[in-house]
Amino acid sequence: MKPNIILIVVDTLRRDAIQPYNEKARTPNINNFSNDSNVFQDAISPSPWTLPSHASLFTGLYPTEHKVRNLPDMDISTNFFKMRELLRGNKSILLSEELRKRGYNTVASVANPILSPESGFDEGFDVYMQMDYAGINTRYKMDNIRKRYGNLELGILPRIVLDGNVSYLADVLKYFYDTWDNYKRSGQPLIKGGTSILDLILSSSFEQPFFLFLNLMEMHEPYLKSDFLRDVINRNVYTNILDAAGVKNFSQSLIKKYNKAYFEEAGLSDSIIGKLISHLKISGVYDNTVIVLTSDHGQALREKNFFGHGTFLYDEIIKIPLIIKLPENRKIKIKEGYQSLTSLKDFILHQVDNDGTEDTITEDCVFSEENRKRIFLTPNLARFEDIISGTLASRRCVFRNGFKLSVNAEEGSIEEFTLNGSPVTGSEYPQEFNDLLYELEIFRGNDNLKLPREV
Amino acid sequence: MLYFKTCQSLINIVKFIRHELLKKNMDKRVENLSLDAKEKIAYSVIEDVFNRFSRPVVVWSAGKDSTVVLHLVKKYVENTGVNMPPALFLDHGQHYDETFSMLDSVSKDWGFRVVVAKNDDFINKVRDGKVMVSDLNTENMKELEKIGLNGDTIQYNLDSETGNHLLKTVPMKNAIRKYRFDALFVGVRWDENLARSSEVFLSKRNDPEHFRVHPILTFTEKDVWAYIFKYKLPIHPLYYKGYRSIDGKNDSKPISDKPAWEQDLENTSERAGRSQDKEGIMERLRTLGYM
Repeated sequence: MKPNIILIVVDTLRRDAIQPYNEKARTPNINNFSNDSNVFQDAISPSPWTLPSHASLFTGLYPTEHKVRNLPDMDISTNFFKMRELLRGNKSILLSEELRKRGYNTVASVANPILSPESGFDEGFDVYMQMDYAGINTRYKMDNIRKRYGNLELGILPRIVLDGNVSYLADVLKYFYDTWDNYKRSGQPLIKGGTSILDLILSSSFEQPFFLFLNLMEMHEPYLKSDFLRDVINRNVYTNILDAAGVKNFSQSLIKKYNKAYFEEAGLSDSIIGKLISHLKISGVYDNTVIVLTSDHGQALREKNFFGHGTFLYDEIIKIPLIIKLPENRKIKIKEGYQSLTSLKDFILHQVDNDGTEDTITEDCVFSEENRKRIFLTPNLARFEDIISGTLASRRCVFRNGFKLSVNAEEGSIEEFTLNGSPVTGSEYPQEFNDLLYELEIFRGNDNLKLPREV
Repeated sequence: MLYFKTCQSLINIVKFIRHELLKKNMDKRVENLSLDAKEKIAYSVIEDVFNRFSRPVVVWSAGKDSTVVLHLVKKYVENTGVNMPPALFLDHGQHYDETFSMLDSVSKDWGFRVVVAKNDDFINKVRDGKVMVSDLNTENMKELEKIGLNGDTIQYNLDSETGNHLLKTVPMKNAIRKYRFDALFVGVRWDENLARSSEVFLSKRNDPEHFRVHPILTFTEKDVWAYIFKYKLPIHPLYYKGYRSIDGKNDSKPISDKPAWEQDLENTSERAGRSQDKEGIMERLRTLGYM
């Protein structure tokens, strides 16, 4: 029988937060799971943020190729349909559609609002559910309301009343209540939808073979209870960008708090994954299931004066975990090189069609890219737009033979040239530098970008 | 076996007659059309590809046709300011020295990268002009399985199906996969070979998925030379020595002592000096992914 496929994306998870990559981390469930699995040491995400990375995961293409790399008109809610067009119009068939064509029962439950059903990621899924801080399926209604009234702040209540939209009023009040309720009940670490997703899976039974795609948001900011309400209500999740732009500096104690909270979230994610895996074992489907545990990007914890993700292609942001369990806990011989999320689609289909034990993921050379020049800002942050845009740029990086070359392709300047993570110079390694540049030049394709000069 | 061979040669004769009959009609498709108009057609095809694909590449052998395509692409690039795409060169290990010096000089003068695709495993294992099948790596073995070869050795030449497939098509496909090229500009023309006479401007290929782009389908051999002289393009030195079509040292021969453009282009065969065509294997090569 064809193996079931479970793809778990732990949003914003960096490698050192979990035990298979860092002995000091306390994630026993993931560690047990990794003993049955293949642990890839050099996985790179094709983009430093959620939307392009997930599109790469499902299309097998880099952002340059699938073009789902920007939220086109700054306003998320009105432009989701454009992403659906892009995803649909792609030359590549989505992983979910490929699996559905092969007779799979395709189910997804996601917590990241960027992956809400309107985004187009529901293509190819029989069932696609988005969880929210406030609970199941409230967000869909909320987006309609947001389109009309803007952000869900208390200030919109009188306007709704004046318009006489009673049904909206009820929905908004319920949303506020649920969020408040969730806030009250949540301790530290914060629960951001993961437990609702787990409840849903534990109470469902899936016809086999199934494809289950999960996106867990626990590792993503906000990390402190005090940030929670503000971020949820205002969608004010850009404090990190303000920090990077120098508009607002985090105090040392705040940074410490965030770091501590981040690793605590890993413990919570671990327990959710542990319960899911026990459930699979008890239901007798574990053995015949391919389970992929990975992330769409990591998180910079101010190692290079930057907190968060997106914008830059630092190692903390694009080096991600990749753990794959095959049916019957088969092991594969992992080759030297790097793994890109863009290869995961073909690998999964290879498992479905051929039962392979060959490492078809690892490549000599992989890339990562960022393309945003503007981002969506809430009205209260609009005045910082220029400053924030200053940090944004098209960036490209390439990994090969232990070397990494990262460039700001707006200015044609070098941001990082490293060997096994340590900075080196082009004059020390001219051949390697030029080789990486050559890879970037071909990877650039039609994009009108500047690259540094050869040495 | 004999029966099989007889059938095959009969089929080839039928194909040849069909080609000769069709050729007249095929040529009529672009009869009386000026070179200017054909250039515009080529330019539109190139423009369309640059608008819709992210990573194009020009397959370039330093021969006349692919150099014309490269120049047309260069013109588009200069007019629009987009990046000049790289060229893809298939190195089968039997190229003339003149070919390599032309690669160097033109790529430097015109400012583009040359990506070299080569089947190192195969070429490194050649001994006395042949390769033991058992010496090849698994990838090459799999490819041999695909084309259904049995036997212990393979001749190191380009005029056989195996040689052409392993030395040109396989490394080309690997390069497409590795560099993620989505559109390959190729200098195929309608008038040069039966198997290419029904080609279309943009043709989709699988494994790996990409498009073949043929901007100069409408050009005749005469048009190609006219274009080369019109824009003063560099000319591969062997064309001066009577070669009409150039590839490997062992499978291309001069067919006259006159320079290529001074020969009777309309009444003699352009690829007479090439062994691929004599064997009538072009169609089969193309189903395996060749140009």
